[in-house]
Amino acid sequence: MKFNEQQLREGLQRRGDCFILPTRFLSESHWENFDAEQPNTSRRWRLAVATTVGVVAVTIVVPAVVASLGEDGTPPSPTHALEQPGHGSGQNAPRINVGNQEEGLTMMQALLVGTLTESNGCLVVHVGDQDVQVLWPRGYSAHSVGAETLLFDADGRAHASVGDQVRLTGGFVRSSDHGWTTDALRCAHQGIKAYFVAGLVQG
Amino acid sequence: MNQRAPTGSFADFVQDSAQRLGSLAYLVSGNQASAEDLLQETLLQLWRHWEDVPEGARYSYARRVMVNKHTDQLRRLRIYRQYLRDSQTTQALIDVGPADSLTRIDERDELARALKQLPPRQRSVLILRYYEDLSDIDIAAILGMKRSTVRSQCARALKRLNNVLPARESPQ
Repeated sequence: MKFNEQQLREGLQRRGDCFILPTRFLSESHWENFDAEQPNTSRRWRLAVATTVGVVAVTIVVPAVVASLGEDGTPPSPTHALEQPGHGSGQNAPRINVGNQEEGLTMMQALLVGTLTESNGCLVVHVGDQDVQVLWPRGYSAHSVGAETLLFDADGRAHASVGDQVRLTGGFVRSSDHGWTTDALRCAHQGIKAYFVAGLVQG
Repeated sequence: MNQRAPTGSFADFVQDSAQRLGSLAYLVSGNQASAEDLLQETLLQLWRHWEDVPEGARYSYARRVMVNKHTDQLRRLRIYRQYLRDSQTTQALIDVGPADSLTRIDERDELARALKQLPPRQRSVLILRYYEDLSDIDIAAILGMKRSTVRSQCARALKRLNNVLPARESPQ
């Protein structure tokens, strides 16, 4: 079967119609949640920030750089700079970045290794003698395929089945620290105080 | 700080355009969960720049933001997968095929299957031309490519689409 342009238009329309708009998008309260968190990035605001930075650079940084030059006009060596009183501490102290260095991919990276287990209709990870409640990545789901219960990612790929050893990156968080909805915690057992928020899942 | 929750005209815009934008997100991203995320990020960016974007250009602005955000996400995903391969911290995923009903519907949809096999840029060109009915000039502006490149990408995409489809239907 080949598509001509009209069929392609109709096919795309049909497929686009499969999207179900969540009602939260139409709720003003949904957007109000972001009210205090978002930076003001309007053009006027950016212009004001850029102007301020420019003024600071001209009035403070440039004279400081000129003053730091040696008598012969050459900058001090890095070693020399570290030997000066006040260097190497406070805000000038060297910083070490931790975590994933890839752009935009910071996440909690604790490792949890255990057995994928079904408990009360939910998938948990059994470690030692206890079940760890997991908040799975967005779009993950569990389905029975034949006699197996499989864990699928958002793209429909199976990662593991119940009984498999799994490795999860992520981290523990206390439930009291977050205002999670009951929907996100529908699999939680009563009395659970901490959850493992999973980032990367390996079956 | 005069930032405030979007109400009034922004709410009207969401009311009028979110379904259409969500469908576009669904087409470019390929699944409901990713489409919701993409729509959320797009609308948030529009909200942040609401006063900067002329009233008549807000839908096209959102559309441009969405397509470029998706391209950016794919780029990051490629980097991440490369990172995983390089660090040998992962093993091959078990691909046992679709499981849930939505995925099964997708797999039955020949067009959806074929679209997934296109490179992202070619897929975007097709969607913008045949779903959004945009001209080559508009598509070129959104994707940051020449008009001639849009035409060639579109031709390649159509050819590839038509090559993929009969191959899937031929008997084993």
